[in-house]
Amino acid sequence: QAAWNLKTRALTEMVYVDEIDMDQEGIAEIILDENAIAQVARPGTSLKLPGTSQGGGPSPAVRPVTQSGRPITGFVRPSTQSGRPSTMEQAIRTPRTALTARPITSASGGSVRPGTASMLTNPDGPFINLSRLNLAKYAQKPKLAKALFEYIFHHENDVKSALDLAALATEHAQFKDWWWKVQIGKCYYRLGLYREAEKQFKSALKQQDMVDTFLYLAKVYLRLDQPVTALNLFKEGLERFPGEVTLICGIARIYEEMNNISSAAEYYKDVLKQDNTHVEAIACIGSNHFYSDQPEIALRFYRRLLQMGVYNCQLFNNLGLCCFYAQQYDMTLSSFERALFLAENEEETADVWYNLGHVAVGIGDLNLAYQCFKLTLVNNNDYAEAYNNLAVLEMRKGHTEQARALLQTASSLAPHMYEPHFNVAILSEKVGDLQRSYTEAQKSEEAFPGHVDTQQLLKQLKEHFAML
Amino acid sequence: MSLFKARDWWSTILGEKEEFDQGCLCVADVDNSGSGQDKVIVGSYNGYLRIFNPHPVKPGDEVQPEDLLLEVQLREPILQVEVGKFVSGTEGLHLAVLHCRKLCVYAVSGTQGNVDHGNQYQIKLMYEHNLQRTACNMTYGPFGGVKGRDLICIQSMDGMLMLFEQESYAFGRFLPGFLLPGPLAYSSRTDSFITVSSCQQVESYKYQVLAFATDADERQDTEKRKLSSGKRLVVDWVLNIGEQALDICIVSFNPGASSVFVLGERNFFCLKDNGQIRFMKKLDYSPSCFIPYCSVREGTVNTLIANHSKMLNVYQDVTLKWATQLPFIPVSVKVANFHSICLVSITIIDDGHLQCSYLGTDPSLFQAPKVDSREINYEEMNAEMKELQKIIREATKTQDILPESEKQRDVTVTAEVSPDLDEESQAIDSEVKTRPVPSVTVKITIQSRVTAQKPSLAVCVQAPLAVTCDQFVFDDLEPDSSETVVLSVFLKESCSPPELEGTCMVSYNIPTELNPEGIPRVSQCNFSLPLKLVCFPAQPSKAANHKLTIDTNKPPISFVTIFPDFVDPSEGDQANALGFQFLTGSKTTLLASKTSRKF
Repeated sequence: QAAWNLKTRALTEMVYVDEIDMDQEGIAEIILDENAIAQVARPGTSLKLPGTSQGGGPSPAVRPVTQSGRPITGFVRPSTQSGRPSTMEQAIRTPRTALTARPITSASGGSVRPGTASMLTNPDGPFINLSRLNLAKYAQKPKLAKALFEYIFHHENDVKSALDLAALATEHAQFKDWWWKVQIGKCYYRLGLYREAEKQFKSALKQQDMVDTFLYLAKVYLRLDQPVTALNLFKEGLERFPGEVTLICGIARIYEEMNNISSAAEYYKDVLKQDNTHVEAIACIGSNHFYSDQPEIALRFYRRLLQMGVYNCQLFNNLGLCCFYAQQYDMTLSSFERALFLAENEEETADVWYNLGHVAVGIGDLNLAYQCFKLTLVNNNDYAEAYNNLAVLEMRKGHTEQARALLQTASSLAPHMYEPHFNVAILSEKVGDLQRSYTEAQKSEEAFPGHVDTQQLLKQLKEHFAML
Repeated sequence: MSLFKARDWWSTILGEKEEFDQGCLCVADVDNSGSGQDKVIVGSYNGYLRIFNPHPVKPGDEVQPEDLLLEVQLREPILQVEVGKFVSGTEGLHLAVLHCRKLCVYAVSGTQGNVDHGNQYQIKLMYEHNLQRTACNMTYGPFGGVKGRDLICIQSMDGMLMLFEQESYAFGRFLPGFLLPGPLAYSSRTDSFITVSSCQQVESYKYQVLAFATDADERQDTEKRKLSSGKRLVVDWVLNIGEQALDICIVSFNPGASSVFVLGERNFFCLKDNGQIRFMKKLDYSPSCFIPYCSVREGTVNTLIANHSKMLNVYQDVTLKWATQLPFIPVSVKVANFHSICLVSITIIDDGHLQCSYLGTDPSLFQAPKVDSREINYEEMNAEMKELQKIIREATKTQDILPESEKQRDVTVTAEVSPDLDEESQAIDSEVKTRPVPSVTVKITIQSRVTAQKPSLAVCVQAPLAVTCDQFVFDDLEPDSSETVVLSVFLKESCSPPELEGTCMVSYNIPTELNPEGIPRVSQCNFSLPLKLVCFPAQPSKAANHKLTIDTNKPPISFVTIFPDFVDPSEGDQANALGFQFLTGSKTTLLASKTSRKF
């Protein structure tokens, strides 16, 4: 028994992924979301509406947005970038349009790894044959049951059996073991039964305050699209565990997703006060400074990351951009050179070339810029921003048809961007196609209501039409 | 991730391929020198016991030979070393060494050397106990509140706590519900043993309760043990932490309270005496070992936690105060006083690196590997640049990301429908029985400007129409060559066709330099068939089952222009009625109004 227990634990540890970080909302869940209650949420209470910024958030003109119109965060973590596509059509198109969004059915998302691992480790068949297991018998033995549960949940990834075992075990423990309740909650969460999961987590919290339970419960609330409740929960958790980094960080993430960047930055700073080596917090504050026109300060944050030993393409990419905007031109190119050197896949390479294109535009070398954007598209032909910028360059050269085709590609790839629409509007207006110009300008306004140039163009066009 | 690395004060490598684990490191003034300087005692699984007295001249020096005070090889693997007042009648510190089946207590003493070569150290065995069961770990302390001496408690692999009152064996107790041994610690304030059981909970057993419980040793066999389980060991308190623990430490810096520190696999807990959580911290790394020590601030405890990503973090309660990089993954960490420096952490790694280090602002300079930096020859570069730009310019002329326009097709396919029906009908197997079914000839020409491999032509018309042959395969086409095929279209099934359009498609491969197999390409064209194919003129009649009136906003066009095949041009514009009979039998009459705009 002891050896069995040890081996189970070892196998589990091998594939252990913290369930809290594992969060991929699959396409099916997004579309078939049964938990949505109010279709139109009040401002500031839902994560589904991107535009519910309550002031303090930067405009999309300054800070690029992800597919669903949420400002890009400084740190890639699962589920932040995908957002929620609003329509079925958009959801299905997502995989082709943006790398940031990966709609996979969540059951396969993060769990592919455990499955393969078990195959790797046990060529002679699985260590424990789940189907032949008498769960009721094991549930009687709390020592074995816990290890067995983790094995089933993490290693075999069989949520249903895990849930059966947990239900039997919690019964055996006379509903007094908070751990089993948390596990049942985890299973329910995996199965998409959020309300049931919430019940279990709450009941577990009543018995014993644990950081993990707070995090799980908050995750359930986020999935139910109740960020305010999650925030309150985090704050409650902070009262119980003052200075817990994961809780503060959770608050900051929610604020960031709700477009309340200034509050998010405050909380990220709190995180750093508790743990000044927190990479995510440093990166987010850095990107926040960058997009609020303080590239020098952002540069300092990114340099700190570099000193701490973060060594990857993205960091050098950011460093290069910061250097460029902070007018440290000598460092710019070498940073990008390193970024290219470190790029692990074509998407990263595309990002670097895109930024290099920006730099080239900035120094006025349009030829170089043109080639950079071309290289971006070679590496990643879904890069809507590059299509847009390439179109602008073509426009300058006078290749109207080319430009129009590129802009159309851009707008079909990224419906959330207002730039392609606006550019088409300008282009059409120049060649005299006022009708198209007007419709495109309207689309642009829809994507970004506050864009002054669009409004001016619309006004101008309306005057034109009135004259006619 | 840290800005700084631990500054090396003194380090050495122990033996070759020796294995060490958590209990192998102990820091104390073991030879009772009275100078207050700590010695480092290390025992390995290979049975080597070493005592070091590190005193480098300056930080980072080489190991001096006289730093190693003592090295002996004991015959059995050393599981744990501890230093305490283990010998009765004296308050001096002695060294307890735990082997698998034996507990030995040694006295370490140094004698002044005759010449100036330093002191001579030796160990003397004070007493030893042979153990009935395989030991796992041990703890010591003044159990039961005895003054001035330490008792030892050994946990065996099968869950028995064996207590030794110095030279004599006191008693042994089985822990209830035992499966695997967890870390064990003794809390002197509450006089209890604290362990983490396989149920993933922290359990505390009072020494008193242990002492008065049924003696486990008297029960020889398991049968009996089960029978007499009525008087079991009662747990003082239990806290479910939901994970396995790596280590437990108990510290009491002020006499009023002590804290139990539990390092779990994913969380770090600080518990009160009564088992309530004082605070906990979720760790975002996997820790390897830890040690709490006193803090400069009142009411807080500092903790060193080392992890598997080669970091040593200093926490004050839950706040990270310092993070430092280590050159390896530590398995054991301790805090010691040496001479002037008071805070020195000692770490030991699996394969025998022993390192004393202190925290300093020595930046761990992360040296990014050099990017391929070569001497730049500007002239050559310029030439290469020009060359490349030329290529780019050429390339942009011929190809682009956007697809090319239709004009530059390499292979064109054209279809020509003959204006008259075939004189001799080519129809075969037609289900239309009424009449000889007419057919029309379609001539399809494929023209190629380049070499096209494996061209194949497919002709398709919508049922009920059919073609005499719908698939053609040709030999490879030479540049500027053409192929022509002739086929006939006819009505096959006995119903009216929905449309009179046909498509022909050519698929072919164009070989390139890189791809001799060729890139598959397709070109296609549409052709439309005459109405004559499916119907013939008939007498117009005004009687019909269904009538359809089409209003137009222009005057009606004469039928000659619409149906040139059916109207005799000699009749001219006069014809305002036209009758059709489909091959399938149904009749249709078309009337054009002369005065109003109506069909």
